[in-house]
Amino acid sequence: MSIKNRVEAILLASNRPLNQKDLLELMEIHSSEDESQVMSAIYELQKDYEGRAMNLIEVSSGYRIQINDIHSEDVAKLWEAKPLRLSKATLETLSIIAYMQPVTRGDIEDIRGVSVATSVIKLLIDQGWIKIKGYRDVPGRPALFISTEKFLDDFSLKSISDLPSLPELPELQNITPELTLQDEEQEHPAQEI
Amino acid sequence: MLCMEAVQEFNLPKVKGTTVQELPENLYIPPKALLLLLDVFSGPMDFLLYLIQRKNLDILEIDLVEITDQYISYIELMEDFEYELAGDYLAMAAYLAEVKSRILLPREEEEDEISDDPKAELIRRLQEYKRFKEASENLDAIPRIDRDVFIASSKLPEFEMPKPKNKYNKTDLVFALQSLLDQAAQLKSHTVKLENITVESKMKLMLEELKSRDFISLPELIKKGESKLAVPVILVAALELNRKGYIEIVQGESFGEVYFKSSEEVVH
Repeated sequence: MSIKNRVEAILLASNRPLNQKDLLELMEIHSSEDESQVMSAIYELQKDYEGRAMNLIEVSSGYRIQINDIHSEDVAKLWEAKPLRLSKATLETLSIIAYMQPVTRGDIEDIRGVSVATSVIKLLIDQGWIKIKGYRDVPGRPALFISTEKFLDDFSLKSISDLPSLPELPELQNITPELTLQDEEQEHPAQEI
Repeated sequence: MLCMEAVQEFNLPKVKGTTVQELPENLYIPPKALLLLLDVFSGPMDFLLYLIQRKNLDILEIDLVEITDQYISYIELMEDFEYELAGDYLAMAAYLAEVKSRILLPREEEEDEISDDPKAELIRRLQEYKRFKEASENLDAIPRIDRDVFIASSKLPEFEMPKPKNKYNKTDLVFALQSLLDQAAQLKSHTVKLENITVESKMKLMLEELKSRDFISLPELIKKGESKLAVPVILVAALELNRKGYIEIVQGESFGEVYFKSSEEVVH
């Protein structure tokens, strides 16, 4: 019984991501030599799955074996329910929470220019993608939302820094010519010194 | 797409600058077109951004006055159709109208500060919104579990145990109750008490008793209710008294009753 097959068996049967610690505990492995074998088993499995219907990826809470997204159309038909379609409002709200966390509803509304529907927040909480982490110490004590580990898992991310980078905010200086003039006036004396 | 076409159709009379109070009667408007428009945009910012980008304009190059007029004319159009608009769209219209008025009205020079520049503020808001709109589109493109990727699993399905049919009779019930009671009885705890019985105390008791009567038979010696431990102690006590000569042990016949009696020779 090779370590590679044991790792594969456990990952296939678990139905949820397992990290290195989970695997070592389940396999009752204590020696560092065997530990490194587990890690190379994961690497070998990743190699084996190349060109196959599944792949082994690392997400936030560990390793999981998943069916490649090119097969999603076939596989999705197994379930009667259509996959959850997220509205623009939901996606925008989720993005603001993910990139700017922790944020309040007010922060989200400031950016989106529209009130955040309770149904949107409820959907995101029900999906387990966001949660309340504390309350901002201002009048009204609004709830602060953060993204969860399940959000990272479900969006195939290892950590929050793996999110696609947030588009840059362009510099504000060239909006009005007056602004540049003012800047120059202020800068000139400094340069002369 | 439907809604965008609708928007452009409606926009034509406005762009020419003529205020059309009533829509041409022969113009067919898909009844749901405007409602669809509200569904397509995530909010007034999104709608405003669409108005700007429709003209391939950079946010920085917007003509605020024109955009404001356009935005407000759409809002009015929708109100003509008696669609109940979300308050947020109206709030944006009010905000745009305010920005527009501040730009058009002459102001004193000292007021013209960066923080007070209404156009800069609006552009800032639009840019800020735009980056998150783009971020949300990027997020939506990421392979998502149960939409694009599915966990490959050989997890065994949960087997459902066939439910036993109700075939019990009264006797089964009684037996079940009995076994439960038995179990309960076994589980009952009981405390072991340490008995304080000594050979000396039993010897004393026996001598006391022999003062009032001549003989005590063996069965009488061990009284009812004595503990198991007391039996050998009493016997030892009797033998001890006999050894020291305080009592005699007599037997009338073979296999007959054994009696204990005080030794007459001994002086107490």
